[in-house]
Amino acid sequence: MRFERKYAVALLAALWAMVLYAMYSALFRLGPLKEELLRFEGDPMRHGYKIFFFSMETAAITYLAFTVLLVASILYLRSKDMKWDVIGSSSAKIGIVFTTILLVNGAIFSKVGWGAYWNWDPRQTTSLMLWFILAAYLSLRTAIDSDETRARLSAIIGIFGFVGVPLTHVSATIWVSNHPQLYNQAGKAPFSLDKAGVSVFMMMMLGVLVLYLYFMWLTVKIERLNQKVLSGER
Amino acid sequence: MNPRHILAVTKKDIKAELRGKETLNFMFLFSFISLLMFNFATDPYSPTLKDVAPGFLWFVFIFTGMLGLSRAFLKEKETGTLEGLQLAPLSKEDILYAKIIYNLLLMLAIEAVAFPLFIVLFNYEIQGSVAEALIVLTLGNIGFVIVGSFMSALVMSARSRELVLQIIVLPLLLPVIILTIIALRKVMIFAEPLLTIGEIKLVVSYVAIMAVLSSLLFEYILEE
Repeated sequence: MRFERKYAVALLAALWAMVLYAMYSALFRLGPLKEELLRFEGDPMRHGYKIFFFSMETAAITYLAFTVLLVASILYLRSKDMKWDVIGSSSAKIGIVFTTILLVNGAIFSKVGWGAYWNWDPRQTTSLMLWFILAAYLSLRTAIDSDETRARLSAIIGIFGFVGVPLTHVSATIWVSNHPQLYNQAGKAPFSLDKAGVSVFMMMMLGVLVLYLYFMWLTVKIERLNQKVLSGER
Repeated sequence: MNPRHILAVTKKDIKAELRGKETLNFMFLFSFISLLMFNFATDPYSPTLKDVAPGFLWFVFIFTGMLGLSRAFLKEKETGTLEGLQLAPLSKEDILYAKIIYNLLLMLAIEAVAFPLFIVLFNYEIQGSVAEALIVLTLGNIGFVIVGSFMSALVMSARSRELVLQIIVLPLLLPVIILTIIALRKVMIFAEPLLTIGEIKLVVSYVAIMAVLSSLLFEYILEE
């Protein structure tokens, strides 16, 4: 057991070093945006585009948290196994942290790219909707006393709330938006990363994913202990 | 799904409402007083009033609707008639459909009075077609009552239900609320017909998803 933990710590330390390196690369080693993509002379997006490396991953994790919540909610309603409720609610708790980071990142990007922290861009608005849905999910949970009822009702909200994810994803295409897009109408990428950019992106993605999984593991463990204490087991 | 069962439950609700007229009266008075409030919030001679007034109208309807919705299932729970409804030989979804229709009728009844009042109080001239404005409003209402009725059943067993209901319904309805305001503004400001077709399509598809989810998940609310 102790032996395994040593490996886990070493692995986490290696990952941490990798993410630090990726952050350093994103900030200092990657070059500015290509000249033809700049909108005007002295465009702050010249280096400001690097916010992408810090915000795209949080968006991906937000979607992931919602997906885990959806799957756990469906499985709970089918099986009535409290395990799924614990997983779903943990994912929502971590999801709201990542959505908050996403919104803050988005606001910084918005200030640099469009001149105002909050621009009411469809992407920003629908991301805020995701945050509100998770907040509603978590507040509903505090308002119900019975464990079984809480799990059942919040699972229903978990399924409903997922509707916001595809909506957020397509929001930049169905509404007028300034948000940069990975693919335009013709299916071509107007904005592409070079090799170094891709590797930085992948390193950051892996780091954030492991962070999500670690938080999940921790929250589920705390929740299990909590239930054990409350039920008076030893 | 049996239309006769749905109509029977709706009829029962309408009958009960017309005896006391509690919800109807409160909703009407609330919509009236909030229209007045919004009127004072702006300068009646300001040129921007034309732009913001459609939003005011829609918010009056949303908040008034919330008032009625929070009562929809709660009334059944308080008077202990929910068990009776569940024991009656109808499928559980039919109860939900009946409540949705009843709430929709309630909201439309309020709006039939509040909409002319709005025109009078704000001295508003609708530039587009009135029929299109009504279609946009009704679609928004349908989306609102579907999600609202479902969620009012969901929060029945929660503490401080009325508060929780708002917190859950408003974020889930955000797309419908925003799109309806945009469409309403378009139809009230521009004379050109059918500018709102894009918004209408989006609202219809979003509401359709919500309706399917509601009817699929309703049985899980009532099981104890």
